[in-house]
Amino acid sequence: MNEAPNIANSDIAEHSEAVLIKRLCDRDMKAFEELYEEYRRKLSYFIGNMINKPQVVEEVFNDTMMVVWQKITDFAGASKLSTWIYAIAYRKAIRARSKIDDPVSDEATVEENIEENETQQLFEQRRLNQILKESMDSLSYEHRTVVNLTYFEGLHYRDIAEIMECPVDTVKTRMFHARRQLKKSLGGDLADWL
Amino acid sequence: MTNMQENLCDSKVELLIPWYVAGQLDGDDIALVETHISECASCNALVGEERKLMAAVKSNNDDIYQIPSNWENFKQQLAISDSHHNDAAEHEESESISPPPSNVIRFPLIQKAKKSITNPKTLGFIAMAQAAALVAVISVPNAPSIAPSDNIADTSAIIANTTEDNQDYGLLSSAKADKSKANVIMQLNPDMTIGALNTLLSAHNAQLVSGPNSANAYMVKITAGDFDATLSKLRGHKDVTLAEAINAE
Repeated sequence: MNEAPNIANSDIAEHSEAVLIKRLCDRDMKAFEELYEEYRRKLSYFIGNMINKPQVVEEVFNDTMMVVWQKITDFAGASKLSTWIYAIAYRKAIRARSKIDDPVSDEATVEENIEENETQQLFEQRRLNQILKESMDSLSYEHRTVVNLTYFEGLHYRDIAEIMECPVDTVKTRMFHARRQLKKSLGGDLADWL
Repeated sequence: MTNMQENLCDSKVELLIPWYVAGQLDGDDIALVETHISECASCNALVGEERKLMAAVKSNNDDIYQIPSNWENFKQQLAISDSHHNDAAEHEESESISPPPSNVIRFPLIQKAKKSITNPKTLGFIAMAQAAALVAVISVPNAPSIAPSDNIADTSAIIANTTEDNQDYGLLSSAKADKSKANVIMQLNPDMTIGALNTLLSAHNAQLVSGPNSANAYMVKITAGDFDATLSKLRGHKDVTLAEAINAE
């Protein structure tokens, strides 16, 4: 069962975020470097799930962080800092997607990388990974983004709605349809995962 | 299961299950889900299935592209951004700009100089220097055969002088950027983003020294590798409209 939110921890998190924002507004380069490194990891996955061209992923990331740097003093704190940053990245990624012909076409298949001498267990794990990857890739980017923000980033549906600029109910139904499609694609293989 | 519970299975509770499993629900939502799954075997099973699906998706991220850390280059871009911002603010706030030190050529500031410099000889010299530089830079794309030691050399002399002597002109100066001399001058497609430029330069062992100047040119230093080969690659990029060697070592 879920535990009730820890009030003390959320207070500490809010305080830490307020301190960080203050440092960023004061143009503290060390603070921004920490933010840059933190979100380099987070946004790698987030943007990479929308655009599968490494160079474009990197460009979108850099453009996102540039906006964060330029606009941090305008950030009013109406949402969490992470929500604001994801929202910027989401809009940048959508814009970048519109400029490239096929955002997810140049990925290498896992089969190409499989070595002949792998154990059967490793082979099976790779096969399942590939099935899941293909299932994720088969989702629309809106559905994939909701899955990503929920499972990987652990964001509340209200935060996701804010990032994607859509109603809360749209987030819920996108997640519902994404899960249904994933389960359908995985079929009996879902039982093999754990 | 009652009809009411079945309805909940079809709608509200099932929609909330992903965030319940992710630990991201508020108190009321948690209560709604837990009350329901304690009585509904199928939704209870759904929670278990959801945990498996989430674990599977989360574990399957080994081949996700990781953006390489490029902080040092990015920091330079921040400095450029701040300089642009400061320049704009300065332009808005000040109607009267102090004349530059006598040993400084303010490359992009003809308009400002007209307002503040009363000495006609100084003004004429600055205007001529800027005009010469602009003409040289702009004319290069139409004359690809010009060797770096010809017209470009004149331009580079002016630019190098400006960037080294005038701490105010070099847009990266406030960020204590690499002060080493630029060895390439570049002009770019106006649609090229800062991120794209950053990526391009870092991919070719190059870094931005300053820019853009009044001719929208960037001063770049190729730091490693085969200089000519790198320059050729930069020229071949679709968003690079000009890349010429200056003071090439």
